[in-house]
Amino acid sequence: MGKILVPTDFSESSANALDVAAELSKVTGWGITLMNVMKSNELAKSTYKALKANNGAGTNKLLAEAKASLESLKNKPKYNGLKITIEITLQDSFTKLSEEISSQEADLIVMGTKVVPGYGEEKLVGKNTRALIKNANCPVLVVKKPVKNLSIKSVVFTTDFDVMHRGILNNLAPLLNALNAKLHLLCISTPSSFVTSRKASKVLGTMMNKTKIKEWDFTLYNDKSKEEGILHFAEEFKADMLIMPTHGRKGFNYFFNGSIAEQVLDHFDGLGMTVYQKD
Amino acid sequence: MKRILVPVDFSKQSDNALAVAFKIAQKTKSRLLLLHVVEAPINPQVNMMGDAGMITVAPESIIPHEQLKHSDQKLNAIKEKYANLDVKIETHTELDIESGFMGIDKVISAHDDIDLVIMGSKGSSGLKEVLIGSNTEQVVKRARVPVLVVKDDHIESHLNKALLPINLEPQNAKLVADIVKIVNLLGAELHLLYVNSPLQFYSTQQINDMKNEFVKKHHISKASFTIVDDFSEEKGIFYYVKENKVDLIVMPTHGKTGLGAFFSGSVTADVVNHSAVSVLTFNMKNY
Repeated sequence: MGKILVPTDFSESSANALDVAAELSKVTGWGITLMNVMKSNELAKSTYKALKANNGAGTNKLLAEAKASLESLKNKPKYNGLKITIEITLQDSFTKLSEEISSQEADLIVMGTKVVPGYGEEKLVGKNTRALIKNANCPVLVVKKPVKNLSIKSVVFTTDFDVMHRGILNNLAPLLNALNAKLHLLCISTPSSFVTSRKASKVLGTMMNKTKIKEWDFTLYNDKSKEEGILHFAEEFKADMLIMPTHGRKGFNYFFNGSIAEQVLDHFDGLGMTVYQKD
Repeated sequence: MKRILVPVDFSKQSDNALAVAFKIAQKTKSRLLLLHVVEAPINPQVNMMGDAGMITVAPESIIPHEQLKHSDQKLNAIKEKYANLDVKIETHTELDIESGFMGIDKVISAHDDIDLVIMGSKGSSGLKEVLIGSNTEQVVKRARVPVLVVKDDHIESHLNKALLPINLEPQNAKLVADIVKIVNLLGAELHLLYVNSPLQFYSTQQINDMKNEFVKKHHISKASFTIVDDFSEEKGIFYYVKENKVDLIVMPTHGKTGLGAFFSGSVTADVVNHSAVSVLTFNMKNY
């Protein structure tokens, strides 16, 4: 049985993520692990205060509070009949938070993100989510806004025919099959990285030949840049979910090459999933 | 359509073209004019001043009477073969000392009601194209009426899907109207194709806008559309034709001859020579 990990800080955005995870759990039968990451310095502070005030009694007040909040989330009537486990982990600093989440064994992480307004109309994804995308061992589904009546029927998978993509698709096959969604592969051709139809169909044939996915179609889309192409296509196609493999570049490499997936997520309003591929 | 001209040389290719021509004539209720051009042998001579020249004598005096009779017999045989079809057939043997094309051209000028030429050609590559089909290429480049070039690999005589490559240049309204009219008459469905290349790159949105404008401007009621990415227009067209079932490629030709054709290249001539499917060409000079 699969496992869907939902990190929560009891905010509205993480509640949205839990709603999406619940819908996915209904179709896949996968269990949900609702996890709260608590910063240990906060805990230490509270423990210290509690010790001082109560002479050593009720040391785990903050922990108990977190547990109670998780329980109340789990026991909401709309989640009736779902397998939800709760978990609290301690982590010493804010930056380690994403590492803690990503080190968990899971089949899917559903992460609600705080939306930070950008300069234009874009709604940038938050810092934690950015960090998670670069580290997670499994696909990360980013939820930016509340989703009502979740129905994922058209799934767009962006590809540049990387050798890793076949494996990624194979791993996603159970989820896609459970959703009964139609997979649409998308390759963007730009003036600087031009892809001929001839080459695309040839490479695609070899790539999809040995996957577990039987039904799919393909579009070669022309645009000025990869990001714009993905966004324009998703809009035209009315994609319910976008899946983007990402290299999870860090440091200098990130500085120079950036991340297409992150830029798309900043502008895409629907459900976006990234899959970190190790180079 | 009133009259369709079919130049024949009694080869396998021309038999193929004939089969297609009869189907079309039957469907469009038009008359067929079967033409055989007998080329007179040319005898080059060098005169006393050292200039190369040709003897100008009446062709009738060079070509034996038997050969003309033979041509008439063969044309009549074709007529008999297709006699059961309800198609009006005329036959004509033309003499010409210059080239086969000149003979064809003379006949087109003599009849002002010819609105289509149907002729055969080998879907060729390599040496064959040098040797065969040069007459067809001449006709394609210079004819005043649309030319349907039937390839010998084209076994089915029914044309279902006609491919019209479009580009961003403004198109002559009458040309497009004529194309749509003839494609409709042939009973084929129109499919538009745009080839995007890195040197002249447009985004899919721009291309779609352009195509919508094209369809609206030329009142095309029903046409499917595909964008293909490739390094040149010919490559893109060949790729599409190879991967999809296309019966006919529609191509306007600039009809450049001589040095102009050599330097600017003629996409149409390339497509006619290399493609395995039939090609319908329209000469831009007429528009």
